[in-house]
Amino acid sequence: MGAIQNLYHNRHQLINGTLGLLVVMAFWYWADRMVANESFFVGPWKVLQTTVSLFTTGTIYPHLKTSGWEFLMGYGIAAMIGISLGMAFGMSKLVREFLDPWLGGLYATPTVALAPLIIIWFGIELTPKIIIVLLTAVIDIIINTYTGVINVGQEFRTLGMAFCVPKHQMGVKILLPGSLPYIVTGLRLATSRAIVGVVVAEYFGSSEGLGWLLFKALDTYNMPLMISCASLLAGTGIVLNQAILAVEKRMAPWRDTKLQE
Amino acid sequence: MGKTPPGRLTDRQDSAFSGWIKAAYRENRMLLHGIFSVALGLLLWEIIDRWFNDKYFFTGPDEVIREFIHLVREGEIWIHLRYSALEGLYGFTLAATAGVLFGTMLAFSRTLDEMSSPILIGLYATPRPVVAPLFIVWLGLGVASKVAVIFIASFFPVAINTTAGIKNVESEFRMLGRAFQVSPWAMFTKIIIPGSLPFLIAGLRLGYSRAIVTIMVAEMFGSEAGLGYMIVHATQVFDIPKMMVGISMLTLWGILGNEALKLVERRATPYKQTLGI
Amino acid sequence: METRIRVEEVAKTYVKPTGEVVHALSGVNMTLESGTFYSFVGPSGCGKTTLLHMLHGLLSPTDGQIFFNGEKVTGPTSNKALVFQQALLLPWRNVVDNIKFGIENDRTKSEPERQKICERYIQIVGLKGFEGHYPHELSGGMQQRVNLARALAVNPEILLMDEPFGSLDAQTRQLMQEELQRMVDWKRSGKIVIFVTHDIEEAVFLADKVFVFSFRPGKIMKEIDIPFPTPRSLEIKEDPTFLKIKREIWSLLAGEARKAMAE
Repeated sequence: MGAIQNLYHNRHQLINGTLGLLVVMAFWYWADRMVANESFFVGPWKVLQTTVSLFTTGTIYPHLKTSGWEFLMGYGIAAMIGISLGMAFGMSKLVREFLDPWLGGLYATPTVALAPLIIIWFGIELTPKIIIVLLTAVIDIIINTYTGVINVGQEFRTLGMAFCVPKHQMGVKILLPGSLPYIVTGLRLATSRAIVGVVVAEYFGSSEGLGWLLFKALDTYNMPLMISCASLLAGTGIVLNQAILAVEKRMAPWRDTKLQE
Repeated sequence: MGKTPPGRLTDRQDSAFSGWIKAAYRENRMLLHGIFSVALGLLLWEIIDRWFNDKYFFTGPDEVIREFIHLVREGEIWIHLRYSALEGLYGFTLAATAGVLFGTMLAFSRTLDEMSSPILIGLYATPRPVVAPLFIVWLGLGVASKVAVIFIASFFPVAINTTAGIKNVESEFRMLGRAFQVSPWAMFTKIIIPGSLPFLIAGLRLGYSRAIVTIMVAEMFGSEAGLGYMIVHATQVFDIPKMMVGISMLTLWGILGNEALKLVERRATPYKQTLGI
Repeated sequence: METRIRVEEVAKTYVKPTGEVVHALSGVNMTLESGTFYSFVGPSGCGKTTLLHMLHGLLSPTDGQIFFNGEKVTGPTSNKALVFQQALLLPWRNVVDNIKFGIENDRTKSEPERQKICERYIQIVGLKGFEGHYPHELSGGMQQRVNLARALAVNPEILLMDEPFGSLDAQTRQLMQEELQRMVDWKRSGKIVIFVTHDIEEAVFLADKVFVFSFRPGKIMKEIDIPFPTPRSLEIKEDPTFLKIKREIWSLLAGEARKAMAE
């Protein structure tokens, strides 16, 4: 009886979710019918067609490659720097006391504002774009790692001390694994930020990439292409988010992941 | 001062003044260290600026302040400030209200929650630099498009946190309510509302930070005025000081608003600990 | 002594989310009289808390029925009160307002009357002077006293206590056991007190009668009358008769406790 209830609940979710999506799709379709101007608004069917053709004609691949590379490099480096810095913040009281205002400032600053500046400083090659992606992604990783290390309960630190774990190993053996759930949350949030970084970087200086394609479509009022690119970008974000979410839930089933933004 | 300061082997007392200084240092260590590092940072900035000596390339804090005063005298900055403030205010207030209301509804209706989930996640996941130009096409270059983008950006954290807060409180005190036969309405007003307040405020803080960043992003793609507009145009004509003024203003708004909400949180929920950042 | 509560052939079965079927209780029979302090003692998982909740009306039995004053128990009513294991105080209310929680909806009382009741019980549980304090400012023992005062303020005919001293340290626990007898004057007011615990010494010290429960499915292994007059002082725990009863219960429960540990 209980097992059936469990299954039913999940199916319930699926049915309702799909229902909701269908309602929106229907509304979208109707709205498109109402607005005849294709430069202004376009319906789901046309968007789907456009998206498929992008792949079948292969036009999308060079753009995917560029944007993908920007994302991977920027995100990867941000992860390394972010986790290290976050751990430094968490482990050293000195670092916290001195650098806390900077962290707060960094969090409050819209890093996208620096994007045009970075393009000016470094040009329109790949590197500046990677830097922009890095900047947008690193903050979440630092903060979440920092929170994680701080929150690794006092009990674990005491455990380490009781078993004579040397100070330099504390970080790797106890604090890092202990704060892993928080780190993964930070990494998850950083994926969305990194995508934003890619789009912004390509807006200000590039000649190819998914973001560039989107803005070119916007300029030529090619609505189907524009919404197509937008959906691809959003879709990537969702997929990455849900994938890491699944890992998160496995690692720490007791955590309320929704609140960790 | 009659006590031996810690770490001292003798009873030799400090003169009253130096003792006071040492005590003040001990108590305010964190603040002092913070101020010290900010001062150091500014100094570094100034040094780098002098070294570069290329106004098109880099600018120092003195330039920024001078530019700020210049803009204030000219009056230009007020237009931008007012414009962005209006967008932010409308956008965030709408998002906060709708977020709390919708979040509450979602907490009580699982059907609604499940139905709206994919749509909300989809909208939330769409990067703001993608949503912004779209709304500009639909709603024009004026305030309306920006308000729309800001709304979408800050609605979700508020709604999600409200829902989570309500569900959390409800499950925690459910048995208490049943054991004392508390009516559903009393349960809502006496337990759920006060109990979910901390979560709600946390959501508002998150939504606010997003709103501030979104002002910038939304205006970046086309606007009549505003801080974001000012920043982007300053960058394009290599007017770095002006750009820095714009960024500093936005950052300031962000910090001030966040601190204000933290204050509200401390006053309204003195029994909960506020998060550090 | 009137028979107030009658439990007839009560059984409780439920299904865990994993699909596993759990027989919490089966074939429980008891009659409880007013003005008596009862203890339910048994290993963890023997269903004593489940039975407590059923007596309150929060759960219904899968089989059998429970009668209070001749009527079937169908839900929680205001003549019963539960003292929880976790204090479950509302963190945004101070001590007085937390105690007032149970009687707020009682329209037969005016506000000044309610205030008086709260003050009376604050006095009884020994928290005078702490009226304006908030839960996070109180120790565990003090929070539990507020928990108790909240239940007492309702003036219930049945007081149900679910391991209320479980989270307290050993010394506080001893003192609270002694204090409890003073705070709840069950013989005079005719209350039925049902105290659930897995601490045998605590059960024997506090109760007029002890019900010993077996491991799942929970059944009553034995009913033991405790021959000491109440209120009792802590020294009675050294009394030979006391120790004999303790040993008897332990020998009954030893096997059951092992079953619980093997889970």
